[in-house]
Amino acid sequence: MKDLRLCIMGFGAVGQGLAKVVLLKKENIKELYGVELKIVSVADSSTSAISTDGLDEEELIRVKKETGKLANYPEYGSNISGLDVLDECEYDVLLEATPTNIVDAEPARSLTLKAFEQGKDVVTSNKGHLALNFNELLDAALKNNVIFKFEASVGGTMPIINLAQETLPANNVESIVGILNGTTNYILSRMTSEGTSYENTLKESQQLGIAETDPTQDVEGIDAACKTVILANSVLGIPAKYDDVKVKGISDITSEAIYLADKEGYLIKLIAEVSKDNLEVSPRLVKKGSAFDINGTLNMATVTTDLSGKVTVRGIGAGSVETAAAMLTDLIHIIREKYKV
Amino acid sequence: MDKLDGDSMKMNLVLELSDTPGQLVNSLEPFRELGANLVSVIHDRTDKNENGKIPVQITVEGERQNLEKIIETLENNGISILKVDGSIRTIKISTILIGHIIDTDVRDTVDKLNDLDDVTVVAMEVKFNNEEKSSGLITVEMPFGLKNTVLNKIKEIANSKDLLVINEI
Repeated sequence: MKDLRLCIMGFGAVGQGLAKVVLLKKENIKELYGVELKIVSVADSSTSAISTDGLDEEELIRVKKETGKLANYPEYGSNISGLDVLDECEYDVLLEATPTNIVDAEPARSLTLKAFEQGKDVVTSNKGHLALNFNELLDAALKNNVIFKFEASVGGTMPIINLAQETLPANNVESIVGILNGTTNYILSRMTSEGTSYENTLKESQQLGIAETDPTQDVEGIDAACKTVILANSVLGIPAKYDDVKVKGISDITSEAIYLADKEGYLIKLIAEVSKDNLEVSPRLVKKGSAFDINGTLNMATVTTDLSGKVTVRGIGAGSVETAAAMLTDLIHIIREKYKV
Repeated sequence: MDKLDGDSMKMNLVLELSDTPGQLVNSLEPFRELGANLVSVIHDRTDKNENGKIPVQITVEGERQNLEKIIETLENNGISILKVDGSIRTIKISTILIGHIIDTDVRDTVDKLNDLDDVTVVAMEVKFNNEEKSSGLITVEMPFGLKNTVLNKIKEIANSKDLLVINEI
């Protein structure tokens, strides 16, 4: 039996979700692939827990939830943080789940590049470094002969990058049009069903924890624009940068506009369009009952291909375990490629 | 449609197809399925429309019911029909504008669209909330081939008047 040593950077919702899915699926993975998953190091923003013998998944979550810091992990807690964690303990795969930073992409960019230099494969849920430094990261992965997977960065658990790359490789993808931000879809869905104003609906979403205290990244379309850049680069081969995307969010949408659309059989949705001719995130009218008619925090995407026509997927666009599941799928891809006995 | 023997008719169509392999054959499938006879098909890949698509002229013979079914099937398959028996097929699109719609001269907005050849604003509804900003729904009728021209014009007007435009997907 071969051990596969995992380093988890970032221990918020997604990081804790990773601990959960590893706990839930490690027996399965052992049976199927003859590989034993072992979490050897986990870091939050300022501390970590590190043990070459492996850490207990439930204990990690308990310590983080109850004390707020992984430094309090019995015996193996420490104040080592950031890049140093990667030097402190031998590992095989980095699971990178730090918060998205759209200004300078840190710490995700440095962590990822360092892991590549150490010859390690990386799975990420982060969007910042992919949106800002896509080519740099892909080149570095290639140069170091490692695998870099990022399905969880777009659409949460909804398969889209692997769908296009692994499942539909006979096709050229001509465009991807979809709803790639769950928070705004929730707000617009509620404005439609309740007839409420944007401001009140945003407040309600914040109280429910669906929108963040600072909702800018979601409501101004920045999050969806990052995903547009990632899809453009990874699926359509367009060397797009964040600034190439025309971005308009939903904060100017009025309940009157939603009412008028509704009367004519339309819904207003924040739509991301990825094609050679257009990289755009903007509110658009979609027909009721069409593939774009999805409610709540769901995401969807229609992939238009040259041979298979249109293929549409939908799924849960965020969430702790759901996003972690997409990362575990990427990890299993790496296991199949490199570690399967 | 010209009347032939019995209930048989002749019909002239102009379709619009994208320039990718298989498009022409796919578009002809409904004719075969519904037992209509193709009289002629004129397809010239070098003669493209403004939107990069190829116009295909088709003359077909068959029973009236079946010919109507063919039009329906083609449209359901997402194929644009520009003309039937010489008359131009029109479509309606709806767009929502948000901002100072009235203050930025709503009349001028409508006129600018009506000034485009064969384009008509057929409906406009404006709603106000407590603030100065209003929301308006404009419905425009146009020949099939002009859809992008109209959408671009709406965007251009909206930009110049600082209005948020919500176009159909």
